[in-house]
Amino acid sequence: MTRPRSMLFIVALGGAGALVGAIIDPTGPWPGLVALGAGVAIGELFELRPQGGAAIPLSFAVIVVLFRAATLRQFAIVVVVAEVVALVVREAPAWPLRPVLLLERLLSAGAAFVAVAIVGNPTVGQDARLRVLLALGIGAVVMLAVTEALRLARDRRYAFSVHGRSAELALITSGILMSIGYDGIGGRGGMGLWGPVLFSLPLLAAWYSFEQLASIRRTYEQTIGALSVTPELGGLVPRGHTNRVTVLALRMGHELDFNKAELARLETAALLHHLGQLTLDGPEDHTRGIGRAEVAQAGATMLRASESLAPAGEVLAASERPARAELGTALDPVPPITALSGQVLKVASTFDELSAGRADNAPIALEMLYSGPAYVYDGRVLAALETVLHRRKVLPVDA
Amino acid sequence: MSAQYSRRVTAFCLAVAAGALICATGLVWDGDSPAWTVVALFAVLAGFSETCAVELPSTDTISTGYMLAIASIVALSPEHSLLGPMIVGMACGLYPRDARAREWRKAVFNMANLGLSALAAAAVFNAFPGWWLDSTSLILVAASFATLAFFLVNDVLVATVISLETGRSVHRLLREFRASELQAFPFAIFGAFVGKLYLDVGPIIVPLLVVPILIARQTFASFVQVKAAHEATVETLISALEAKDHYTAGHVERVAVYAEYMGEDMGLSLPRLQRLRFAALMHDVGKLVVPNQLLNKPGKVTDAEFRRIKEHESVSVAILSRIDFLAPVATSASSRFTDYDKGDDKHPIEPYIVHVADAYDAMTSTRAYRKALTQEIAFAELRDKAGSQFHPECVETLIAAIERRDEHHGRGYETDEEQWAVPPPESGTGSAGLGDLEQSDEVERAVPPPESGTGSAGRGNLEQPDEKKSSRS
Repeated sequence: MTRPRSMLFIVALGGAGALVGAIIDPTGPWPGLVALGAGVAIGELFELRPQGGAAIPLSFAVIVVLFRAATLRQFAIVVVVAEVVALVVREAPAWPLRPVLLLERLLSAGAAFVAVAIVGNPTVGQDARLRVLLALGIGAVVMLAVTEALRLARDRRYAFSVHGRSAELALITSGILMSIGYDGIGGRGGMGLWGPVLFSLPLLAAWYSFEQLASIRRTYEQTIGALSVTPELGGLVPRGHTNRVTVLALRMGHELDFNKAELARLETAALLHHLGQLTLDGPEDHTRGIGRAEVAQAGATMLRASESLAPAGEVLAASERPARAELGTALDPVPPITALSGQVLKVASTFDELSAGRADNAPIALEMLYSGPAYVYDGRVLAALETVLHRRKVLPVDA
Repeated sequence: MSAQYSRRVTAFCLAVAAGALICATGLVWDGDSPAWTVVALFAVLAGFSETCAVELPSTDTISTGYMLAIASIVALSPEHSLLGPMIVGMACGLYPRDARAREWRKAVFNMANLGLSALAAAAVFNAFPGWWLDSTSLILVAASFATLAFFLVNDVLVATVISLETGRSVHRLLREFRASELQAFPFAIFGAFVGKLYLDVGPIIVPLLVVPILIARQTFASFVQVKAAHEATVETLISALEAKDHYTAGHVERVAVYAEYMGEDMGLSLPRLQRLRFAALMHDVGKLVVPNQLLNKPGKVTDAEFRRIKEHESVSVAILSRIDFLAPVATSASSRFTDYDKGDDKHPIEPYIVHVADAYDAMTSTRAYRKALTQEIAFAELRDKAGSQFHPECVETLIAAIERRDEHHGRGYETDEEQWAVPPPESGTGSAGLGDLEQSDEVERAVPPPESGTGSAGRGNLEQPDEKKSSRS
């Protein structure tokens, strides 16, 4: 079911449920709870997708509202029903994974409710501002932490970082705001269902921004990727060369402790290092190819024309620069990290050309690089290449 | 920049500022003394939100200042204060961009304008009875009217100043503002409820509100940045293409413009329009793999060369297919898929649009093998092949769009001054397979037309080579 249809289905189901609740017990909490349940189910269809992080459903913010709107029994019923409905109507993940996801959601929501109960019932007391905020905040954090822990366990990854958690922060603060909007504090400020609806606006704005960013980033990366294979599509470069060079350069960059920005710059430069070839012409009889330096220079000129690609252009230009000046000559000054990135690209590209992308050619290709003039290749970069090749088990142990 | 303001604009800005000053003085005189801590809090937040406003490449900005002005109106409504919201509104006018550019008149106008807008909104909101604040639905009604008053004053003043500066009609400008007001309206209403919650709960709600908005803002700013990077990348690509193939200079941009004309008039949604634009800009990208000598070869091409040139279409399709966003319209780059197929209802419209735009520009541009045709001949050719080669609706939409804009292309109206090594002949083959297009009987041929020539824009020499025919002079 597509997302709009799923939403319509949930709204219709929720509307019917609220109507039944209103008929059975007109003064009871069920119509409101059913509406919040529908909010949870719809929230499952929308996720905050931060770059490099796990997706977080907006339903978590509505569950924060439920902490105060429902008793334990009501909370359990609403969350289970809402999550089951979402399980049925959602488009992803694939069916075999959905029960696992359902279990994760129920566990995290349950743990969060327990945490809120331990901190205290925040609906009690006339001056309970701090307690309300603390309880809601802890509940939201526990829910996210349990979800993250279960996800890491499922993926068998045990690395955890607190960096880049803006999506989580947006969700926690919005959840608290929506909850206060629903029930107020100390008996004041409650707007009922209007509260969560209205105060979901900042969260929806954040969701929209994350969606837009993820979409344009994907398009941008795919555009760079498509450009990177253009020389291969035109038969100007052997198939797979660009991809192999990029993977190898990135691994060498990791070995050399490049930071994230430097790795990104190196990746773009590696992907586009043959772009210049597209604007150059060899001799009409095609008896010889175009010089590497010429290709790098043309590519660097192209990339430098764009503000965003200019840093990669600098790396590409530096890739045709020797590691050290020959005796009696001088090199143009280049920032050390750019020079090193250029060396990484140069070594990775030359290695791939020498080995023709075949693992059994790796030892001889490495040997040829080591036997080149000392000023051409940086020793640190060759050592990084050797380490990477050892890790990939393409070199004999004694090499 | 400020030197560009005419005297009338300056006079109007000063009048608005004077009006705001008089109102503020009157309110102080009348004893309006709001809770200054609340005013200070909202004014600082409003000023801060302007500092954090996302600057779009179009020079517009996205900010939430007006939302805080509405919030302050509700937060200060128990005191029936008009001065407080006015001050917060003025704080919304503190655009850092104006201060950086030392555009003081603009800064003064913005502050006065937004102050007066907030004043009008506060007057409307306070006209409703105080007990309305106890009902969420009634606040919604009162806030809606207050927001309308805010936008009305703001739009009229801004439209007037723009009209004075550019000569454009105020009425037309007001109509243009409508779309952005519709987008801003929910946020203004949201501001009203922030004010209500502030009244009930206190300043504790401020960080809860600010954090997600700041995160949304930061993320959106990143989006704008990556979008600009993507556009720049495509531009770099087009520059490379143009450097490689001289005749293409300006071609893809023009094709993109014509495609946009058609897309807009055919009611395509904004995402589809964006996709159409990129598809048009990149429809010739495969030419990058065709050798320069071949692409710019002035004479006839051999069979092998012809095949090599044709390869660019499949490369273009392969490249566009790798980008999810463009994959559905990747066939725009291949002549195999752009000829109109009446029986294929599921064929996306975009490739047809690009095909018509491409052919029109091919005909109205001077090429190595012939000079540009007149617009009339190009229109006639498009209409002649409509229904067989071109999508009829696209043809009529393009012609209507160009005529409505009173634009002229083709011979006598070309903008690119290409220096040709060999002057192009007066007439020659037209758009994709259109055959020889005579300029007119009166046109004197300086050079005899070639037997064959390049076909549709960017598709290379589509006429099969025939070694027996005489080559181009």
